[in-house]
This record gives sequence, C-alpha cells and structure tokens, in this order.
Amino acid sequence: MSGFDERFERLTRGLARTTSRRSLLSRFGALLVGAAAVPLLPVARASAESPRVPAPVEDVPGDAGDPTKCDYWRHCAIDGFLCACCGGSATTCPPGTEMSPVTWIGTCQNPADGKDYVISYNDCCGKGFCGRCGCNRNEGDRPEYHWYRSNDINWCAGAESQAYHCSVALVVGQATEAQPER
Amino acid sequence: MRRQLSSLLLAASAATGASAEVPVREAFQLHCSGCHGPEGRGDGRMVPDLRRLAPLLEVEGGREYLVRVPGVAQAPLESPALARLLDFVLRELSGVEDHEAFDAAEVDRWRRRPLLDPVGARPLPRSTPPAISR
Repeated sequence: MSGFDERFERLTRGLARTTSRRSLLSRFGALLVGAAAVPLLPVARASAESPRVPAPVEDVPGDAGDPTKCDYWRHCAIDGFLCACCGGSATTCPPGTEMSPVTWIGTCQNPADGKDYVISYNDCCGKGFCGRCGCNRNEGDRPEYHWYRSNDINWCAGAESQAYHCSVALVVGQATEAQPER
Repeated sequence: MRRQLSSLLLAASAATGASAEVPVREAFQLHCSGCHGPEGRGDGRMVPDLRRLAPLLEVEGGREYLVRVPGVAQAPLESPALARLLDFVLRELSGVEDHEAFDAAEVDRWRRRPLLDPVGARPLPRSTPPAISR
C-alpha cells in the first residue's frame, strides 16, 4: 500500500515540477474534475423534464376558504395530511419533499360559484408522515381495485422516495359534471 | 360518414335525455392524466408514454391492444366516449393524423376481452424496458 502511495506521490510531484500552471494537461484535468462535479449540483430532478405534474389553475373564482382546514372545498376527497399545515400550501409541497407525478383525480364543487372543478390529489414524498391536519373525506372514493379512484393508495409509489409526507389538492380545470359518479 | 353518424347518435342521446358526454379533454384529465400525466408522457418507468403510440398501429394486433389494456378497457366510460378518447390521445398526444377513427362497436367488442397479461401481450417492445423495482 505504501509503495502505491510513494509511486503516486512521485508521479504527482513530477507532474507538478514539469508542467506549467497553464499547461493543457492541468487545464484538461480541471475540466475532467469539473465535469464530474456537475451532476452533483442540487437541481430538482422531478421537474427537470417539463411538467409531469399538472399546472394548477390559479384564478378560480371566489376561491375562498382556509386550505389548512379539512372542510376547505378542494379537500372533498382527500385522505392524508394537508400540506398547508406541513410547511407547504394547498398546491405546493413542503421544502425537502417531491411531488408524486402519479396521482388520483376527482372533482369537487366550489361553493363560491357552485361549479365542479377537476382536482388532482398529489402526494408529497421524501419525508416521513407530517402528522398535522389529518383529513379523510373520501367523497367519491372507491375501493383499491379501482385504483385510479382510490385515495387509500400511497401515490408516492411514482416518486423517487416512497415515504409519504402530505397531500396537495391542485385545481387543474373546470368540470362539466361531478366525478366520479356518485 | 362515421363522424356524421356519431354526431347523429349524440344528438339522439341528447334528445332522449341521456346525460351529455363530458368534453374529451376533460375525460382525458379525469381518466388518463392521473397516471400518465397532464401531457401523457408517463413516468419513464412503469407508466407508458402516450406520445409514442404510433408504432403500435403499424403492427398486427396493435389497434386492439390499445383498447384491451386495463386502463382503457376498465375506464368508467361508455364505449362511444371511450372511442373518442382513444382518437384524442392518438391525434393530440401521439400526433397520428390519419388513423381510422375508433368506433363504439369496435371498442365495445375489444374491451370485453381485457388482457390478462398486458406486458406479456404487448405486440412491440417498449422503447425503454420497465425497471422492475419494489
């Protein structure tokens, strides 16, 4: 082992003596090390390839209510912890968690205008249970054999980490009728 | 002709008081986008990319395969609405302009024979093999 160390030391010292600071060799070496470090930069990989999660509709008329409350209209079929109580909001995940790209979708009626809206219930994943504002309303929820209508599934199965933290309720459009069939 | 016929049928169902079909985009949001995503791109692992269905139409059994996969065959939609949803996905997501439109009778026939092994029965290999984890 020490023989290896000595040889390597001789090699690097020799290189340092015989190459200038500006030589191609040292610059190329720096490039190699730099290129290897690029993938380590902290970028959000889940959203790297344009939207895998829906773009929420923000201008919902008369969108009144408190997203930290279970009876907020968008939560009509949620089953989990409300992200608005966990450091995120009704539409964004708390820092340090990733929004699951796979989710279940239903509709809720907005009491302000009496219209139904398509809601995407995305789980935020990557940390353990948030534990605050547990909410289980289940309107239109179906058994797990109807998987895309079931809120009992851990939708973090589609994310990098399967640890469930909390849920958001994104309005993704207006619905012409209430779904699932009640 | 087929389109005229379907609009006639639509008009007829409206006249008899049957509930109107939801717009096809909304049907996509409700019944497909939860797993396949708002643009149908899938998740790169388990959920197929709906933007790459064109090659399936070129091979024997591909057209019926599209109807018999579980997500389509079991979708809580009547067959006429399902036919229009399939056309929408092929046209808008996979960019197929010239396929023969699905008709309700055809969809009805194939969805009654759902695939018992969708991955094994796939007429074409996936462009990226599914990573089986968990």
